Amino acid sequence: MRNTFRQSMAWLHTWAGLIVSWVLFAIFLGGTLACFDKELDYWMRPALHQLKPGPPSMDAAAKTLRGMAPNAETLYLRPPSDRDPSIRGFAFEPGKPYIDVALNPRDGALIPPTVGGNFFFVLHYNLQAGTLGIYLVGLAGMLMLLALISGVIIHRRVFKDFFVFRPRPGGQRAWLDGHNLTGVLGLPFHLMIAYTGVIIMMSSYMTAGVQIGYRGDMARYYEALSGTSHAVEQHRPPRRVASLDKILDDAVQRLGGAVEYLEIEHIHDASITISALSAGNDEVAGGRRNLIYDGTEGSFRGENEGPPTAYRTYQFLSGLHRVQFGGAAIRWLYFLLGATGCVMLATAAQVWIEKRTRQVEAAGLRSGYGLVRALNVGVIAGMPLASVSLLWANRLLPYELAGRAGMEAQSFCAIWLLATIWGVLRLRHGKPWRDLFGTTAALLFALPLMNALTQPHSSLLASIIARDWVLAGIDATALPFGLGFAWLAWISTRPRQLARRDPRMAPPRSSVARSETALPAVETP
Amino acid sequence: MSETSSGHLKRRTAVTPIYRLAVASRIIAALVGGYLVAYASAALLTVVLPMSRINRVVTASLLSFVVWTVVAIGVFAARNAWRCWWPLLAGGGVMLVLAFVFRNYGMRP
Amino acid sequence: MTMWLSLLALNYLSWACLCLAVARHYRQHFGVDPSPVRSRVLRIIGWLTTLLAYAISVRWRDWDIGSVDWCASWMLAAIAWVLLQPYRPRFARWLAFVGGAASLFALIFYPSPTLF
Repeated sequence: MRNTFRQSMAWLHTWAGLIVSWVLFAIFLGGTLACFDKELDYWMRPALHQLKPGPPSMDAAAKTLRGMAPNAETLYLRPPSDRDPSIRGFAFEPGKPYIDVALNPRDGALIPPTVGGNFFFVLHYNLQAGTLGIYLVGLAGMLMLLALISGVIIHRRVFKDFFVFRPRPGGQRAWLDGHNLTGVLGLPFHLMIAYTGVIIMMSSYMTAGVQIGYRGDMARYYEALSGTSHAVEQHRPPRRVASLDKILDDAVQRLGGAVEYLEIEHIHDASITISALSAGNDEVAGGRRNLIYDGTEGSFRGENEGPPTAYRTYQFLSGLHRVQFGGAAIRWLYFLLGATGCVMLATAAQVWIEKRTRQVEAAGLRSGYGLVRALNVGVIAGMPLASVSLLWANRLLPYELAGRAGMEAQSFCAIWLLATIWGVLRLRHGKPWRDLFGTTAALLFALPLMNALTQPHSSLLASIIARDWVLAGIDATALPFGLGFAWLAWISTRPRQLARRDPRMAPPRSSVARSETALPAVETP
Repeated sequence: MSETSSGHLKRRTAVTPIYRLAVASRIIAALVGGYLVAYASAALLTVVLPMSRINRVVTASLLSFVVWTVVAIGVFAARNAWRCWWPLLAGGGVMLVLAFVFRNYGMRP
Repeated sequence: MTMWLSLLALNYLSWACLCLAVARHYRQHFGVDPSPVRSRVLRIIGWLTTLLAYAISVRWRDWDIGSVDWCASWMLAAIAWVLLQPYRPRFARWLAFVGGAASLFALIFYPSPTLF
């Protein structure tokens, strides 16, 4: 059956790639957008756009957070940064949903909730599906790793066709060239993202080491990882709580750089401890230093020894994936490379269909081929539309509305569902790709306008005048991407090969025979 | 299929239920069997690596995904379903048993 | 910003040279085969510019981040060149030349304080 290694790898590439392509596309698009999660967080919280300059008040923020989670043992506060001027608070109370809020850095007031850019980040790592989602994303990452390696093996002219892109003839050749181009030239990035993406969550699904080394005791494992030791509880309330602002100032001075988090442990106990974790944005592996403060006196106690060597390697690998280092420019590079990955996946789906033009036509829409085409249009064209709609929903839903964060997420899902249904209905007669890409383009073009109408103080013009480049950047980026989607809509209006397969235009016999085999993205010589 | 006689490649033009079953079997072997072997290798590496305990655990977990990838590629390269499945189960099983037998040694600091 | 554009431009120039060093692509651009000497010169320039770009990025942001900078701009520059050349071959070559020259000029006459 598959008598050469290359053929078996072609088999692997086709089927491992196909079953995972839609999930992977959603993960890739989510991850690409999550490159700017904090910036989107900021954009989606207009209450932050007109802050008066001044120092942040961590104490006020801690007070609000304690009020929201009176029984939490540990609070986390993230001080303002260049990317997001709010103070972020995180707390967990047993038996209650996880608290993740944005607080006004001046007075600690709660800022109207939104799913924020964090929505894409969560979508990226668990598809908004909790632990099960983490497993699914891990499996998808493994399949991506396999598809990449088998893809290189079956691409018989990797070096010969390194620079080749032939857009003009149209049809399968252009799609295949596009797929090879984005796959091969982006390969170092894709391989890195796939492997680091899989290992980033390894303690959720690769627990063998902890089972053997620690008899499955995750708490002890995490303690060994962080290189920290926890204070012993004294079972009496603390006399007072030290000023977080003073601790933050002191920590910034000692670290000579930004603090990523303040962690307040044992809030209700005299053993209250506050630690400041360095942001370490000048290192790929991120912050290593962890300063410990006495929670009642605010005095500096010392510094943790830091994580063990192997964990530092892990932090380097996950740091490569999470790209919190090196400033905005490198996030742009990741963003563009992530978009390249989306193109690689979208063109792959197209190649799969184009290779099977005749079977697809013969089988009709009520078949596996029809399902593939429906998923293609629903995911590849539907998800970008839903993502832009999320930004629209953020501005159009009233900010005073109770439960508006949930409604934003619902509108994302609803639009995606509607787009998919529309795409499927139009598959038989019509141009679903043009419809959805065109709508996405229109929503992107109109985004700055809508923003200016609903939030005049946050408009593109206002933010340029205020030299608020983070805010202006998002509106401004919508325009070239609108152009891109308009172009996609335009090329989807061109007559499909699928519809007019003329026997006279069929390629020579030998290559017909080849294209009917299940061989995927292999160059036909 | 008119081209059936002209070579092995063309035999797969028709997607038969058997072919679908074969695809499903390989994918399950690559994912589930591959995970089993990766899990077993992480357990065994945690026992045998010459480092401190936490470093052994993390290094073994990092390497297990490389093992998984290699195994999954081997699964698809195997000539038939028997040759695809038995090394998986045997290799994974042996490593798991070894790790379990020497589990106390694996807990050394 | 200057550093970023320089990195991208140098890597772009490098890919352009490496691509034109291949007879098949040289023919697409100029209609004739390149002489062996020209091919070799293009290839050497291509490798040297990307090496230079790597040296600069490592000098600029140290081994870890510098390598990421270089690798990411290297891939994007390759994609830009390959996408551009079938549509606008003349512009693609022009961009490589002008971009490379401008970044060398900027590096020599306006060296970044973090670099030297």
